[in-house]
Amino acid sequence: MVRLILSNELKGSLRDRRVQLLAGFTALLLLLSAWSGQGTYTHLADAREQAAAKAEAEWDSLGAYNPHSAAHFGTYAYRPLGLLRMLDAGVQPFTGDVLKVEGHVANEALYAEASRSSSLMRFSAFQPALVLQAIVPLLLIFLAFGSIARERETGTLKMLVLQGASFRQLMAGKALAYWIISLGLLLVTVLIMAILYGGQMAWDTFALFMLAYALYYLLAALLSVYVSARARRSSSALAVLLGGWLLWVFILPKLAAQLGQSLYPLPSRIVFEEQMREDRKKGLDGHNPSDERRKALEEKVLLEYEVDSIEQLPINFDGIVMQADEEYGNQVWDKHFGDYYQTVQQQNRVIQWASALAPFLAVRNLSMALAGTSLYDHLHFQQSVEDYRRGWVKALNDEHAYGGSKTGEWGWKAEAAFFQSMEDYTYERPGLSWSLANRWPEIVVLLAWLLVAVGLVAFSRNLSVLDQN
Amino acid sequence: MNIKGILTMEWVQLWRSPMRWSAIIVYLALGAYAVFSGQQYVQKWAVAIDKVELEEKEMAEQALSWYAEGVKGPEDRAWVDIQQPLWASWYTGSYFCKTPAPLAVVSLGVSDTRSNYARISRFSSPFDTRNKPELINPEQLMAGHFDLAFVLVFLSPLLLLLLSFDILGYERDEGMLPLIRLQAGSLAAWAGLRVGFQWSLAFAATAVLWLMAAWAAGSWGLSLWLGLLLSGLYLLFWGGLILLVLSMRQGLSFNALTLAILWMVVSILLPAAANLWGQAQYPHDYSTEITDAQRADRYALYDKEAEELEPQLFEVFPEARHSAYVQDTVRDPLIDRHYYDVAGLLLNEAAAAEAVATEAGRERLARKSTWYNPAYAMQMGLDAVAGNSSAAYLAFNADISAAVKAKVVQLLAFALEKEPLDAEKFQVLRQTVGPNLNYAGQVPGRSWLVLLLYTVLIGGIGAWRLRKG
Repeated sequence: MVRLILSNELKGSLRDRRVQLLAGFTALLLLLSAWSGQGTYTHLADAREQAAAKAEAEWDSLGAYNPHSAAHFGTYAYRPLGLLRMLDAGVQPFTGDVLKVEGHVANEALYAEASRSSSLMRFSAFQPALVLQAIVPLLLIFLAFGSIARERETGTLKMLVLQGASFRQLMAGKALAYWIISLGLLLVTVLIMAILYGGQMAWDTFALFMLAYALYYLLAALLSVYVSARARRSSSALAVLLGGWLLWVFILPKLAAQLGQSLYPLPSRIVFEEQMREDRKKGLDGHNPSDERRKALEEKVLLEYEVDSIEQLPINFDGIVMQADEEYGNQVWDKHFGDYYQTVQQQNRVIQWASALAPFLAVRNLSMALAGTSLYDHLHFQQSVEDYRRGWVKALNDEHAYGGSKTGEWGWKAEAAFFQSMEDYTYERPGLSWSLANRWPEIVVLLAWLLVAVGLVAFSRNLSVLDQN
Repeated sequence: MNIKGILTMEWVQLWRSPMRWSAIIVYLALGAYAVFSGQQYVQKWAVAIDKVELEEKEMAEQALSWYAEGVKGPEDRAWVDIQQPLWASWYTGSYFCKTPAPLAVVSLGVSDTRSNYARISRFSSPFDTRNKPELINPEQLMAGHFDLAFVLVFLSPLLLLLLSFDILGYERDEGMLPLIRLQAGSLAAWAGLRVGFQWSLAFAATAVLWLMAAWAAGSWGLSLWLGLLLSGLYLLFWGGLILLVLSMRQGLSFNALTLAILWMVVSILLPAAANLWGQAQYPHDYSTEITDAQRADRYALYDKEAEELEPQLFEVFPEARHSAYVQDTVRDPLIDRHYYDVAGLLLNEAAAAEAVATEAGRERLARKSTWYNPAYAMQMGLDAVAGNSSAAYLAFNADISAAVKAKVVQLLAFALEKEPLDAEKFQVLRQTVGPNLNYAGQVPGRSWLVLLLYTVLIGGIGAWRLRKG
């Protein structure tokens, strides 16, 4: 019976000019946004490749150079773009994906798109994620708000039930029909990606990406049909559904983010930097000969080399001092950025729990996680660059210390081959299980909502709904 | 037509409709929360600026005390010589700040993606503000702040739609339209009056929110009335759209559906399309022109002899040509450093010009988009009133560039004098950075014009169609 209802509803919907128009319009939006996403992705990927190659070439062509000057000259670490960024840019336009790698300081990402954009950035970007997350559910609402309510208004509902269709079969059949229409739109996305990047695609990740949306649409279809069944009139069903959509897609995400910020406030940058500076001052200052820590280090090194003064050392003590300062600076960075990240993660927990009220948030976060454009991915990239920077600076300081110069020889130059031998930065994106492990609350929320929606439909009783007529 | 009777009827309907009251109360509650969160944000901003200024003041006072005591610097830093322009520059770590405008609480605009203060030093770049915004969770940036602008741009039209969506549609569904036409004489006047009543309600609620914002900010100046007028026009534009939809004389569901689609198109799709167009015209890049100016090109300068940089020196400071130092053959490395600063400044300026041209292009395109993008016209107008528009930040960055240039040139002028820098000159150096600005008070003229034109055009067509029928 469900199959029959589904088939009838599907046929009826597909023949309906209004449905054709709405679904066609949504598909067009999807195509347009994918076209734009592909253009942005290709441009960014090319620009990234050129910029990264340039940074590497500049480093390799340093020639004979003082290692400490080279540490100041620095290099750049560029984050590679995942293919699914084309569909969901996530937080990347707001974070930036290039970091300067240099001595003394662990930098934050530079040149975020948002920092150079007009206030149009405040509105949603035209990307497939917008269509998939916000517009397709709206289409489902438009398709489903009158699905049962209108049958009731026209008096055909009783006839259907009298003909042998149970109410839950009716609801399930209709919901599945709308779901299949939304799956058609997902299929458009799959086809676009297959045509454009079939060979390069990580299909397991993409399949999960699509699965998350498919479950989300099933939820939207079931809830829309359920509301239609419970409402006295189709216009009331529409009002309730639109209100819910608005709350889920627009109001709660902002409120949740704002609430997270209020509950777990971040310090202002000036305070944050001042605290870091203060903590660093407590340690070694690479350019400060009067520093007590430096004295302790000096004594230790002199003892180790069994000499009486720095001048007698066979190595360059400045390199050792700078490395010690780096290591202290790393501790300071770990402490302060650790606190910062922890606060940000606490804020995100609020958003994660808010997804219990708004499954839109769950699917949005899952989508970003699978696309590799979530905040966690950004933090992973930043940590990976920092790990690289530490090894990179150590190599330079060691060269300064043990490469053949003596203390105070700031003009000493290491050979070009040394700089060329240093490894360039490469980023390994974490695996699928890592992405999902960070997003288990969203997975639970999505499944729980789905279970509730299935339950609502499965346990709907005929009379209670028919009585409303 | 019985105007009093129609308005009384509207009032009675409102009084008896819990849904309408609830909508108004929820709108006011969300608006109040938005004002509160905006106020929190602005307070944090103001505190940061105070801290920055205090830091600068303390540093300068310390330096001035050295002048008074006749010493060159702190005892434990023998290398510091405050009488040298380079060190004096360090201790005049002057900041140029963008302070919150009187009504900044209304719209945070792009203030959360840029820094609101910049240290004006020899190495400063106007791009420092782009790369060091306040610490903020990128997921919050992505969701957008829950500020009053969000409520006014997205939710105030929804309130009006919710209050008005059943006008005419209900009467049509109930078969009462001929009766109404008979009683009221003109359907256009009848519908216009009813929509006008609901507009008054929505506007009154919006005015309450503006007054809350003014009270929270302690600002009752012109900006408040400019913004209020803008909100009124925006609601009038939506009133015009409602009239247009009503002029189709369809039932309740059709009207609700059409209005929902229109809201989605105006609030989401048109701004997203404008975003898309902007990205296509001015795609995001990795700002290599800036990284080059600050790294490869800058370091290439250091390979040159100072004399080779004289053309740049004379371009920026023509008086240098006649200075004794330039005509002398004996070099002073401390003075030569200013040559490199000037050449570096020119590199930065050239790179910034390119980058700023891109940003200004984006800004121009966004402004142009207001002709087909009324929601952005509203947002842009609110940003202008609140002093947080992208245009305000472009002006802020231009002022930073000017301040950096003024400081670098002043330092060069002092250095070329070859005389110890005294307290008086130190103060002159501090004052090269002008007073802080808030960039407020821009009249949102274009936004008014666009909204007024749309209101007249769309509302006029709606009224004409209603009258014609």
